[in-house]
Amino acid sequence: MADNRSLPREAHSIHALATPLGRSGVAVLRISGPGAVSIVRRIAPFLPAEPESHRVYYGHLESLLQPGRQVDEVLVTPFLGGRSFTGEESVEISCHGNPVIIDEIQKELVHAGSLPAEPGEFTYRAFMNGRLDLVQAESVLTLIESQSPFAKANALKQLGGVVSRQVAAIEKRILHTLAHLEADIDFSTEGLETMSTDELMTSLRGLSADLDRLVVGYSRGRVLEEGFRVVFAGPPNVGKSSLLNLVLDENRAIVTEIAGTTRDTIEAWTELSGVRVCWTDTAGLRETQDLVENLGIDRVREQLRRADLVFWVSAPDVPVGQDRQDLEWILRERPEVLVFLRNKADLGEAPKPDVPGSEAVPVIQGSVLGAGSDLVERIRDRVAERIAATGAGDGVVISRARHFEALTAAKAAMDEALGMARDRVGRELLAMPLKEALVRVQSLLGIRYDEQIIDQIFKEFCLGK
Amino acid sequence: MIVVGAGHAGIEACLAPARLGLKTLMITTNLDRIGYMSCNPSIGGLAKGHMVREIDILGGEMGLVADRTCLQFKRLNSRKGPAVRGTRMQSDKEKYAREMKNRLSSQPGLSVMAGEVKSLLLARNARAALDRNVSGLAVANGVILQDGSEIRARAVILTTGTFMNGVMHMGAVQTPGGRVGDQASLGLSDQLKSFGFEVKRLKTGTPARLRRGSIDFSKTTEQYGDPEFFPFSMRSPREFQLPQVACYLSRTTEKTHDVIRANLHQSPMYCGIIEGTGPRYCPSIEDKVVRFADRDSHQTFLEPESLETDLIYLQGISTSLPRETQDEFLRTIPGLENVEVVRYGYAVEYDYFEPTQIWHRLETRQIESLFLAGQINGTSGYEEAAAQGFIAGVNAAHKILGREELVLSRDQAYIGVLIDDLVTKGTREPYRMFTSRAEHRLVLREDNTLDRLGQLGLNLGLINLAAEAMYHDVKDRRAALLGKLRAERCTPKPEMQEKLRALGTPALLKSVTWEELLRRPEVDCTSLAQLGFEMDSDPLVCEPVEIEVKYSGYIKRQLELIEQARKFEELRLESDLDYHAIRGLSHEEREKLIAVKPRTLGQAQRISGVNPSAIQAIMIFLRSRQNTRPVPTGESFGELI
Repeated sequence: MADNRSLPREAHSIHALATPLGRSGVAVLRISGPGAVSIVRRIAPFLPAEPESHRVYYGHLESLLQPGRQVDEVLVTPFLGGRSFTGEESVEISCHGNPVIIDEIQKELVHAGSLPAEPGEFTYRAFMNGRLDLVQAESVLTLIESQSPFAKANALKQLGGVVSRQVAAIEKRILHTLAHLEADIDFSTEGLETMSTDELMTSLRGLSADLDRLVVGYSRGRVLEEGFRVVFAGPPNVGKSSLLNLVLDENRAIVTEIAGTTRDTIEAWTELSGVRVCWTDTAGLRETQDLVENLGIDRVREQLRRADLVFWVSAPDVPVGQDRQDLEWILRERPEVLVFLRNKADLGEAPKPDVPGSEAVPVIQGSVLGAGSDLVERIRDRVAERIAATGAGDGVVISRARHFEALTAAKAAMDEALGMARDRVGRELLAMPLKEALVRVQSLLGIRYDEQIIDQIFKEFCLGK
Repeated sequence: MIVVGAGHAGIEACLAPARLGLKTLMITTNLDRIGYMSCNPSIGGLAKGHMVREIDILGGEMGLVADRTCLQFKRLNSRKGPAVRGTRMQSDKEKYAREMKNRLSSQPGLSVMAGEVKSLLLARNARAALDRNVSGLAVANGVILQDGSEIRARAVILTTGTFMNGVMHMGAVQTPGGRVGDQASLGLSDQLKSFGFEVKRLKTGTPARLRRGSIDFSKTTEQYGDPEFFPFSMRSPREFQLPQVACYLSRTTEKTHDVIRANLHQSPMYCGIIEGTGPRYCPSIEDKVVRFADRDSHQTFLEPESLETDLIYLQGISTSLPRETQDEFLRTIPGLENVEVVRYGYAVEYDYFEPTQIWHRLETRQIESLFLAGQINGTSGYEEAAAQGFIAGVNAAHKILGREELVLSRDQAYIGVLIDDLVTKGTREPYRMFTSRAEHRLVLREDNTLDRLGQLGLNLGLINLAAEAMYHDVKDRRAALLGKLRAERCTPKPEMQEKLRALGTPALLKSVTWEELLRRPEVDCTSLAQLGFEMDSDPLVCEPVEIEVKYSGYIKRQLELIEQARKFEELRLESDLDYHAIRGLSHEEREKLIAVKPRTLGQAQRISGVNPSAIQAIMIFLRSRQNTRPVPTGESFGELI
C-alpha cells in the first residue's frame, strides 16, 4: 500500500521465534495480529478455511519463494477470537529446531505478509490488549529505553558496510526521481527540465533491478544458508583461544555453542551482519593430537579448506614452527581467504613468515590483552567486509528478515510505480508507490521521512517565482 | 476584538468575527494599503489555489475578490492529474485593494482606523494557576497605540506581516520599514520577547516595477490565460468581470549574469548584511546566478499589475542590488533595453515568531487571547496568510462566544496541513504550501472542496442562505449524476459500437454501466454525452464526478490510509501531559514533545526527532493510567471560559 508510513504496526501481523535460537528438537514460531491465520494459510495450505481455535493441524509448509518446494513438516495451532497470549488472532507453528529451517520459514512468513517482530513487540501487544499488567509491561519499557538512543546506529550496524552503501545509493536515487516528479507537479510553471517519461522509466527499471538483486541475494546466499566460517590458525600460544573468547564474549547474547563433529573441535556460532558466523579455533586440534599427528593435520586442513576467512595468528614471542606446512598449504591453495593477524603487537614485531606469497596477504595487528585494544572490532570489521564480498558474486546478501521485508516491500512498490509509468498514469499517482519505496528503504537506513523530497527539489532545481 | 494589520491575513481575521456579530476593530498604519499585494499581482497557484477555495467555502473573502478582479485566469497542471490542478489568477492589484477596502467599510460591526500599535495591554492570567490547560500567564486585553491611548478588547490578533522590526535593503542602503513607503512597527516584538517568545529573522525580496511604455514587447513572447473561467468561489459569477490581459515572457542573458556577478559585492545578501533566511523556492536573481552558475538564462514573466496603472511586475527577478546595478542588468534583458524603473527591487528582513509557540487554533501559548496569523508565523504568500487570518479570526470569535475551536485536519484541507506543519515542525524559511506537503494529496482537490468543507462552512454561519441553497443544489446534482452513471447501462448496439470506435476506444463485449465506460482513459463526460448519455454538463457537477469515477481506485486507497491513520489522530493528548513521567523517552524527544505539546498522538509522530519507540512509550503510559484517569475527548473554549 502506498504511503503507509503512518500505518500503525498494530494493523499488521508480526512473527518471531518463541523458543531459543539454536539446534533443538522442536522450535516454535509465533505469528500474531490481524489476518495471522490467513497469512499462515498461504504457506500451510493444509489449514482448513475455518480452522478451530486451539486445535493442532499437521502438514507440510509449502514455499512461496520457490513454488513446489516443501519447507518442513510442521504442527500448526491457531488461536482465534483473542484467546491468545497477545489477545490478537495468533498462530503457532512447531517446526524442526534447525536454524536453517527456522530462518527459511521466517522468510516465507515475510513473503506471505507478516512482519518480523521488533524486540518486545509481542509483550507490547499483549499489554495494549489488556492481557498483561503494567509490571509485566515494564520489560517492554526497559527494552524501549535501551533501544531508542541507539535505534539509528543499530539500524546501520545491522546492515553492514557494503549493503548499507548500496541501500543508501538506492535511497538517493529514489529521492532524485521523486524530486523530479514532485518538481514537475509543484513547479510546473517554471520551465524546469525534469525527467522525461522515458528517463523516468529507465530510472524506475534500474531501481527495481537493483532492489531485486538485493532481495534475491537474500534468498540465495550460500553464506546465509550455511553460515560464514572463520578459522583462527597458527602456532600454539599466540593467543588464538583468547581471541576467540574475546570475540564470543562481546557477542554473548547471541552465541550458541554447538559441539563439532569431534569433541576437540572448538566451534562457536554468532551472528554478524545478520549472518550466522562459525568461529573455529584450531588450537584444540593440534595441541591434543600429539599421538596421531597426521589425523591432526587432516583436521586442520579440513577446517582451512572449508573456511571463508582464515586469521593466521602470530606473536613476537612465538617462532613459526611446524605450522609452517599449513601456512604454505593455504598460501598455495586458498590465498584469498588468508589474513595475517599479528597479536601482542605491543611486545614488538612478530617474526615475518618467509613463505613465498606472504607479502600480498593483508595484515591486521593489535593486542588481545592490551587495554582498550580495538583488535576484536577490527576482526569483526574484516569478517563483515568478507561476508559482504561473498555475497557480491551473485548480489549482496541481505540477511535479516527485517531487511528482507523492507526490501521486498520497496521492490513491490517500485514495480507498481513502473507499471503505472508504463500505463502513462499521472505523476501524482506514480509518486505514491515511489514514496512508499522511499520510506521502506529509509527505514532500513534508520532515517525517518521528513521533507527530504522538498529539500532535494531545492538542491536540484533553480526555482524562482 | 482587535486585529492589527490590514494585509491578507488581517482582512480575513476581522471579517469573520464581525460577521459572527462581534464588534471588531482593524488597526493599520496605512489606510491606503488595505488588501495590498506587496509582491506579485496574483492570487492562487498550485496548492495555493486549493487554499483560496477552502477559505472561500468556509466563508472567507479572498476568492470572491480575486474572481472579481481577475485579469488573467489559468488552471495550472491542467494536463496533469486532477488532484494537482491549481487555479491561479492574476488580479488587478488596485481594484483588488479597493474592493477589499469597500467590503471592510461596508461590513456592519467592523471599524477600521489608522494607527500604530506600540504594545499589548496585558493582564495577569488568574486562571493560569488553576488550569494548566489555559495558555500563558498573561491575557491580552487590548492594545496601546503610539500616542499612548489604550483600546480594550477581549482578543487581539496580530497580522503584522513583514513590519515587525522590518528593515529594507537595497545595496548598502538600509531603511527601516516593511514595504516601500511604510514604517516598520517597533516595540511590539520586544514586548513579546520579554514574555519568552522565540523571535527569529526571515528575509524576502521583491523585484523592480517597470514603466509599461518603456518596454519593447515585440522582443518578448505574449502569453494569455485560459479562455474558460472557473472562479475560485461558487458564489462568484462564472464570467470574467474584467478584460483579460496578456503577460510577456522574456529571459535573462549571459550579459545579465555578467553584470550581476560583477556586482555581487554590493548585494547585502552576499556581503553578510542580511542575517535572515530567505525562501529557497523564491531566490533572488543574485542567488540564482551564483547557485546555478551553469545556467546561462532564467525566465521571467512581465505581468501587468493593473488596468489603472502602467506598472509591470517582473516576476522571478527579485533583487536587493543597488539601483544603478538594477538599471544596468535589467537593460540586458530582451525588451527592457530602454526600460524605465518606477520602483526598484529590494529585500526586506523582518521578525517572525517560531510558530511552534502557537496552538492549532493560532492562539499563542504564552499569552491567552493573543492570536497570530500570516507572515508573523513564518509563512510566505497571500493565500497562506489569508488562510491563517481566517482561522485565527474564527477561533478568536469562537473563544469569546464560547464555541468550539476550529481546527482543520491534514486529511481535510490544505489549511489543515499548513497549520499542523507550522505548529508541529516550526519553520526555518518562509513557509510556502506545496502539494507534496499533503500526504493525502489525492483527496485534497480543488474540485471537491465543497464535499470536504461545505458542511463545515455552513455550520460556521458565514455563508448566506442563497449560497447555502446553491451548495445543496450542486451536491444533490453531483449525487444524482453519479447515481445515474451507476444505474444506467450502455448496451453494445451496432450504432453504439460505431460511436465508440470513432472515439478511439474499443467496442463493448457486453453491456456495461456508464460508470464503467467512464473509467476508460479515452472516455470523458463529454464523450458520454456524445454517446447519448443524458449528462449534467455543468462543470461544477460533472467534473468532480468524472474525477471520482476515474480515480476511484486510488482515492479509495488513500481513504483507507486516512482511516487507518485516524486511529492515531483521534488519540488526544492533553496539553499538560507530563512527559517527564513517561518512561522510555530520550532527552531530545522529551524536550520536543514538551515544546510542541502535540494535540494528538498522530501529531506527536510527525515531530522531527520523535521516534516510533517514543510513540509506543506514550501509548503504554496512556494505557497504564487509563483506569485511573479518563483521556479528554475534545477541547473546547466552552470548558475554558
